[in-house]
Amino acid sequence: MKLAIAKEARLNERRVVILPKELKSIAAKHQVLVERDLGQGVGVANQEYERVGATVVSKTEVYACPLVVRIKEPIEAELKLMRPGSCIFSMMHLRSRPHLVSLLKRYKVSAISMEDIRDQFGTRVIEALHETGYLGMMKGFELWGKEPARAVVKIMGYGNVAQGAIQAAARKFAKVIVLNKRDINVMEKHIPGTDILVDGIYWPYHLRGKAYLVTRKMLKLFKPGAVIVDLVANPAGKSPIETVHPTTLADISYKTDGVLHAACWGWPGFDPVGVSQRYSLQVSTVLRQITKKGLTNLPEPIKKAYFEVKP
Amino acid sequence: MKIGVAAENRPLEKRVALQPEELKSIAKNHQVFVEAGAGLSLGIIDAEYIAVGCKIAPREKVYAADLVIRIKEPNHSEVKLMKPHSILMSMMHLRCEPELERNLVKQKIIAIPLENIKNSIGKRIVEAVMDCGRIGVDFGFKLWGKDPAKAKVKIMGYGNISRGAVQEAARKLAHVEVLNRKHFEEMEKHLPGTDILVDAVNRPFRRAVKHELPFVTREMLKLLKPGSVIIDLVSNPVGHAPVETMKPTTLKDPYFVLDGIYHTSLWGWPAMDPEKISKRYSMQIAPLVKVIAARGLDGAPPPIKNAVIRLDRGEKVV
Repeated sequence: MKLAIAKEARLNERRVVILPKELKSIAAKHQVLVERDLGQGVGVANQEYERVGATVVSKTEVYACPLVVRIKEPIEAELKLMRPGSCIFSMMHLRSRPHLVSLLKRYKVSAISMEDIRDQFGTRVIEALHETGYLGMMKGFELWGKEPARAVVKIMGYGNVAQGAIQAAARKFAKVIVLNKRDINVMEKHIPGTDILVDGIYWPYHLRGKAYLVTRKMLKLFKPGAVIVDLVANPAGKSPIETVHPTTLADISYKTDGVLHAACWGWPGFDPVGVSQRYSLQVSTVLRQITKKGLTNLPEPIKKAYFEVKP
Repeated sequence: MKIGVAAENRPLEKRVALQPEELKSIAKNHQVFVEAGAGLSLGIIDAEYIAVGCKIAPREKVYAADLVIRIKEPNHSEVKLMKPHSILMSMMHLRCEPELERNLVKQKIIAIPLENIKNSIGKRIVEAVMDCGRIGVDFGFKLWGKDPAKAKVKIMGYGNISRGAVQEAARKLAHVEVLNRKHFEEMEKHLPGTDILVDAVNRPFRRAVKHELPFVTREMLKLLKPGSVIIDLVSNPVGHAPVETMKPTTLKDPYFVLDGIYHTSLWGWPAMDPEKISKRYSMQIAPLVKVIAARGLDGAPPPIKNAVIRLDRGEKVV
């Protein structure tokens, strides 16, 4: 099987989906192309990929491959380079991105969504959820600008992402209060006195865009200088916080009504080295399974994450 | 390779390490001896083990296998039944169990503590860590007796064990506050108003120290309202708990009341939800057993190899 590893192309994005060490056993059995300067952001040279048996090629050649692997979903210009009938293996979040679905259909490209691959207990196999919360919280402190130990941090939600934020905030000695479902129903009571509000809740699809937990009006209840950190980065208007829209690594925050908002699409990008290592270990395991049997014969957990578009 | 699946025999313990469904493919290629009645408390009868190709055996025969598997560590008389240089796979927590270590060394056992088997990103493979917090907090609510939504829960610690506790308390709509290291030093400020105090602090166990300095002293208990609950999720040995008055409890006798405060510190919280946990462990343990049986210890993958302690060759517990 021929596969290619693509470079993340977003501004300030330094992560790489797979490192030479983990690529080695795959390249031993399959033809592997890697995009030039793939590992630049984490200090891995092209030669290191070549040494484990991969071939360094241009972006065009990478996307012309039957299986393209990267972390973040490709943009249209990249999908355009792909051949009909080929497959992209990356984070996709197709349910909240109807536009991406129509692009896949237009260019006749199938997808294996990394976030949908789960083990026998329903746990995600490729994830940096804890890291998302952890790194988002740390960035939140930075944006707040004062001593974290003096912050009152309120965290909406208590899932995997939220738990990362809880740990980061507690390590920094902040006062940490976890808001439960009853609390998030009456945010006007909980916003006063909050220095950093963290949104780590999974906001159900049927509520997205229809209702908000924190409305624009409530922003005035915040203390001056307060920060909202949205760890989930739902598409604009689909967050439980009315005024939140996704930001990027290059430009993570904006101010609305005196409150700083940060909702980075890809928080783990702030720890490129650590997170690349993590993903590399997780992705290589799955990639070995994909290449072993081919796309027509995927094991059940991967098949569940497979969005097939017939050429 | 002869494999022995031992029954858990502590009072009221209902779990079993491996269930028939997961043993099926192992019993095809290896001799598996299951202790008579091992699955009975979960409603699994011996016939179900026989049906998948296992043999039912008395305890002596199970412990005489090349590889002995159970969830909780065996007691002294059980260790004595084992063959020298045979393998024991169970939870061991040897650091705080020097006596178990001595017994295993004397019997020349190869130990594979289940809690030490970790995957490439350092995550435990056989674990019910989230469940541990959930089950502990649920029991705490039960002891407290009132509507959990009215409880003010403070959770000391913010590691893996704490996560399950935070989640469960928040799900039950309690008010949840997470206490950090700085707070530990001034617990007298944080106890008033607390209904349920959860200790999920992971303090490395120091063998050389008899009495660790507690964060919550006996004196401080009076700052809690009568009927409040203290839950120790780690089940620290006496003298090592961050709560001075805490000591490990058992399924048979899971809590005690001291100075009007409920104390509970179950040695093995997951045992309180036997059905779910047993299945989980069975699914987690079976692939490990399969690979050891097929390739032997030398051919085992790194997660297993790294967990092996050759107590039979004088390797020390670190």
